[in-house]
Amino acid sequence: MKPIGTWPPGQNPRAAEVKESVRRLLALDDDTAVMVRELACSDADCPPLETVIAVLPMNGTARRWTLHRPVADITEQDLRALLAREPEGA
Amino acid sequence: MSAKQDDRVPVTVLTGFLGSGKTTLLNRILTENHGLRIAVIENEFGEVGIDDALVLDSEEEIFEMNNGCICCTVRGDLIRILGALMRRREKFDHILIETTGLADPAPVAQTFFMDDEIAAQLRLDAIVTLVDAAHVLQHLDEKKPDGVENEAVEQLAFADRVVLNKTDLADEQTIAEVIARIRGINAPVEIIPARHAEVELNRILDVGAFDLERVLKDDPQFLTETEHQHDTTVTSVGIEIDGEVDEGRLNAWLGKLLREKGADIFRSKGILALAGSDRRYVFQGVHMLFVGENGAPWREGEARRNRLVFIGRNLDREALTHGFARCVVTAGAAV
Repeated sequence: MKPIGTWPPGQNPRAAEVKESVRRLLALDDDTAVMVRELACSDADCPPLETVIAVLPMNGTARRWTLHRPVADITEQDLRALLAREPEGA
Repeated sequence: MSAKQDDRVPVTVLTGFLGSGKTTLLNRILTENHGLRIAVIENEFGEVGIDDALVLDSEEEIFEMNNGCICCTVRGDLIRILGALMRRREKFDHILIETTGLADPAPVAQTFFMDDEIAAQLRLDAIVTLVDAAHVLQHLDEKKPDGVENEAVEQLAFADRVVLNKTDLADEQTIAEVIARIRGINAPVEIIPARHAEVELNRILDVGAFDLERVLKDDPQFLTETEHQHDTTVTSVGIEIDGEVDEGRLNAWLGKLLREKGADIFRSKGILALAGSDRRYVFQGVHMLFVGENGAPWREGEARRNRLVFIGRNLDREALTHGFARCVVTAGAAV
């Protein structure tokens, strides 16, 4: 079942690895929250799975990026390129 | 989750209009001798001050996590605070989030659906909405400009428990009307009458309202008790159909439904019998976000009965029922 992103909580180890990579690449402190979430869409015009990455510092503006692929397929190289871009809605 | 020990920290969300008695209830929760160490995240400052209690102030910050088709908002302030709280995990047993009187509960609830780490460590236990029995009708009837939500209706639609407070200040006829209006919006919700916010805490804390299997064990009709009369655009639709569900058809139907109508569907929940699986499939949704997992196995000889409920605005009962019925591929015989 995957209508709009279903996941057994806490059982996506790759998401945790991506979070850690984001923390390292952006040199974030422990108080900054990072979210990594796969979103599925069954619309024919959309990629079936996208990954949204958000960075929320304790003090400061939150940032968000989207990668048009499942979290399992995200490489370190993808993250480097993504995070070097302006965040969405900035 | 219910099949195994769930040691995640339960989180109660307390909503309700200004004057409904939230602060009184919060003070009761913090001072009563229940043995729980409760961390409180409050949005309305300076009203609660209890020695030794872990009370954190927070300012509502709505953060959009949208992609092309999926609109989803979370509470950025909560993500930060919950992250920090989890680093002090040993200091408390329960978290209580108090929202402002005008808050939309959706971003709060979606926060628990959005982040894997939060979902791994915390479980949304229940959304508890307080209402002032004497004044809630005027809030429900308040006309809002186009595009502006009636927060009182939303808070009732999202609720797992409604504390009908200040019943001493309303006459019987008003109370009956209030209950009918609440049922019209959210038929399966449990309504707890109270005076001075005096509520047995075991009816609102650690009740497992987001654990459908636990809920259904106590009230097997929970998901389908929706046949109440109503005159409101926000209402609930329960569906109960025997048989096994084709996963592909269900994905296509539910995906399209939530994509196209998700803005109007506040909450969805259900227990399904997927074809080829010997375990119940349990799901919960908030607007367009949806999470599901395999639950307890079906018992031997038990009918494969699918039960769903949708709570939202302008729901088309017939279309929902027919849409789901088309996902059912086998007759509902016991196996």
